[in-house]
Amino acid sequence: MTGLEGVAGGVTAVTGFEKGSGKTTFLNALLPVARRAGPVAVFSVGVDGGLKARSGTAAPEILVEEGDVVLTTDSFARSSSARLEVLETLPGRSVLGRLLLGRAVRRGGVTLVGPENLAALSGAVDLVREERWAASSIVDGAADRVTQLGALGDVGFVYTVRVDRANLLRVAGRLRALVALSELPVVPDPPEGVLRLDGPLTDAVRQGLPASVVTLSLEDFTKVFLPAGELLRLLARISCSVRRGFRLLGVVPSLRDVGPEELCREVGPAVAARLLPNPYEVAA
Amino acid sequence: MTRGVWTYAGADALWRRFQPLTPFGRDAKARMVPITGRAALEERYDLTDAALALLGTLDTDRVTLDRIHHHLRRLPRFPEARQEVFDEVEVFQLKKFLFNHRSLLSLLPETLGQRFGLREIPGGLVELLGAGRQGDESFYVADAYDPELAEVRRALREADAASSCLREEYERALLERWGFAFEGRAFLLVPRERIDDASAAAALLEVEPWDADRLCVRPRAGAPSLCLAEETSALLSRERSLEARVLEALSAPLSAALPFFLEQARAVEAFDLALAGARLAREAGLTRPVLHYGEIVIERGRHLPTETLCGSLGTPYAPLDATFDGGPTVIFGSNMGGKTVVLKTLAFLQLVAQAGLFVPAARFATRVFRHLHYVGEGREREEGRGLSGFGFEIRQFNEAHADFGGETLALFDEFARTTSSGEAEALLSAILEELAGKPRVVALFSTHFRGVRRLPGVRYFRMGGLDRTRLDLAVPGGTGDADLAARIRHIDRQMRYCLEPDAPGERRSDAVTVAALLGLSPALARRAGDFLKQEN
Repeated sequence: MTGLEGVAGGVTAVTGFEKGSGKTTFLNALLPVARRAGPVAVFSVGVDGGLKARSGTAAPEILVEEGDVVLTTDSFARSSSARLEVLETLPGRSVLGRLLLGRAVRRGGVTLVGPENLAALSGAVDLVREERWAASSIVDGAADRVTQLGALGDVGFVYTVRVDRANLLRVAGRLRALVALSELPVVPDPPEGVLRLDGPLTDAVRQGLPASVVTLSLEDFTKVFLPAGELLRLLARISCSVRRGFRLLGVVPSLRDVGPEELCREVGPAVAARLLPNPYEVAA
Repeated sequence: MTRGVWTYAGADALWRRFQPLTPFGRDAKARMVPITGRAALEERYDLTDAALALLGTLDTDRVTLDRIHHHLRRLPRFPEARQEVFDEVEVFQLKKFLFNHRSLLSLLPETLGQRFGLREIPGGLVELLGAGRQGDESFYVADAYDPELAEVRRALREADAASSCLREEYERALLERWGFAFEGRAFLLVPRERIDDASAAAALLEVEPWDADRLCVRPRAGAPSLCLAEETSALLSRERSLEARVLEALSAPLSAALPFFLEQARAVEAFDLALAGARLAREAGLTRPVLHYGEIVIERGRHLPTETLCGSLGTPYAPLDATFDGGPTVIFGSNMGGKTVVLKTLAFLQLVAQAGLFVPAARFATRVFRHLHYVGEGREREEGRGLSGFGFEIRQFNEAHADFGGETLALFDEFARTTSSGEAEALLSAILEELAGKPRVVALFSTHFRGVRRLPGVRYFRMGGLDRTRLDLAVPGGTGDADLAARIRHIDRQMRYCLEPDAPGERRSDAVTVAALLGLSPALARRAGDFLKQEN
């Protein structure tokens, strides 16, 4: 898949603006791309709400091949059709059991379960890298955990979005804002005279900015909590930079009753250039 | 010990740098209980000395030292209670402990291992837990444990191969007919025109509308696939019960060996704590405390937080030389003269020593106290809500007083400073009188109240104070924080931070001069000096 060259051998977070955007579905299609560099480690942030509530909804599984490493719990490892060799246990216990890193000794389906806190996830990603258990890492990043994923270090982000008639305009605005953020210049040490913002950029913070501000340094994209329209207006008015970069590998749209040309028109050329083909689409 | 004395002493400054590497060592650190048995402390110091000797021999062999640290870091927790059946995760933990424990043992001189009680865990468990092709530090129920399990897994592989064949055949049929294949994907979105006849396609695909232009299609399993899936499901279920049987069989020898695991976890904890203590002793230049029943002797004792502060302010730091015998000692001194630092230095050294660590001093000979108390400003006030500052101090004192019958170190930093001088002096005198007959209590009082009674059995010291022989009242200039830092540096350079015997009736005050050096208006300072002379 063009645009996903950095996935093999790197750390990639698959995320979306909201639940049900098709993250896990896309993640399964991304695994063969990542495996080009060798075994893949697959993680999740937090526990899926449906699983936590034991609501009986089918747990989304990923398909691991022999040698892949996966973060899950002992109970999900037992009920998996894959066989896992226990490589490490994580401190603490999730509501779904003890968290473990397991290596598949037989391929099959496994349900991902992640730790509730970022430090444990970060530790697990680092451990896999240090121990060279896998060449690439992929994180299934729940929509509300993007802020935490930003702290994982050099992570490439892939956004999955469901687009239909009802949300086309809203999603287009959010995508324009997302791409604009990803294209902000990275200036780790902003020069004197640049207003340095530590912490989140919320609407209240934006309103409190002095009228004289012409240059603004943001921590990183995950700390921006402005509605898309507000953000785009701010970026047009003030020259912004980020102290930590954000690698947007691309956006994978899942279209329903919206044609690809229409989406491209609505999002504009900057976003259109970042759209990746949906691997589940068959060409006409 | 109360948390208050720990906070007062700033002991965290060193404690933070004490870094055990195993979960057992970290747990021991987190308990942070001062050791009150002399024999237990001497044993900790002996073990630290043994670890220091090891570090010395490994100065020229960094590889071995790195490997020791590597295996310590990898020692995991494991279940501590015997169980009928250990699950896979628990067996993994025991196996990983076993491997790293054995590797650690192989790196240590035999006598040193024995000194810490480190020894092999018996039972041939390494071989038992390493069956099949699996790593030293990972675990799964390998085929090698059970021929029936191996047979079931062989059948599973065959079923998987058969399933792959069926899938390939199926994908070929799709490609031939419609020009697409699933290639592992659970579904596809296909343009409607690609599926010529949706109802006829239902024989091979599950078809549902997606939108106006496309259909969502999923693979439809044929009868052979369904049979295989059913067979696989039964085999997986059988596999799980056979795995459970293997785990049950492995659990018996593991349960039998559990007391040895627990014993070795304690031995590892002792080694980890000693090695962490030895590393810290080297990094921070610490020395072994001397424990005895006599007076407390401090030679060049350093209060690390103050030393660090002085470093950041650019002022010289004077280590403490002092001797304190049983019973009470009163320390007078001017503001900024270092009384509090004397108390904090003693508290710091004593707490660090009773935490089992070596101390930042050229020599620190001390007793082992059962109780350590601090009475004064800075203790957490939450528990004393509703009390005035004075009321809170009295409560603190009552806690300390209850321990005056035993080996107790009690530090009073400007006790009763919030009440009138006459009343404070009366209170202090009464406490000193009682303590004078209690040599098992070492009590230090820093105070400005020079009217406390001169009593037999009480020692009186004062801080050296401003060096009047070379007093320089010309304060360097500056503004804001820079001005303050410059003034503090100027005062510090002129202070003599040492303890001197204090004779009764001696009247020397640095407070007005210190105030002037801190920027008090010269006119006010002069007038205050006049009043002071009149009073004297």
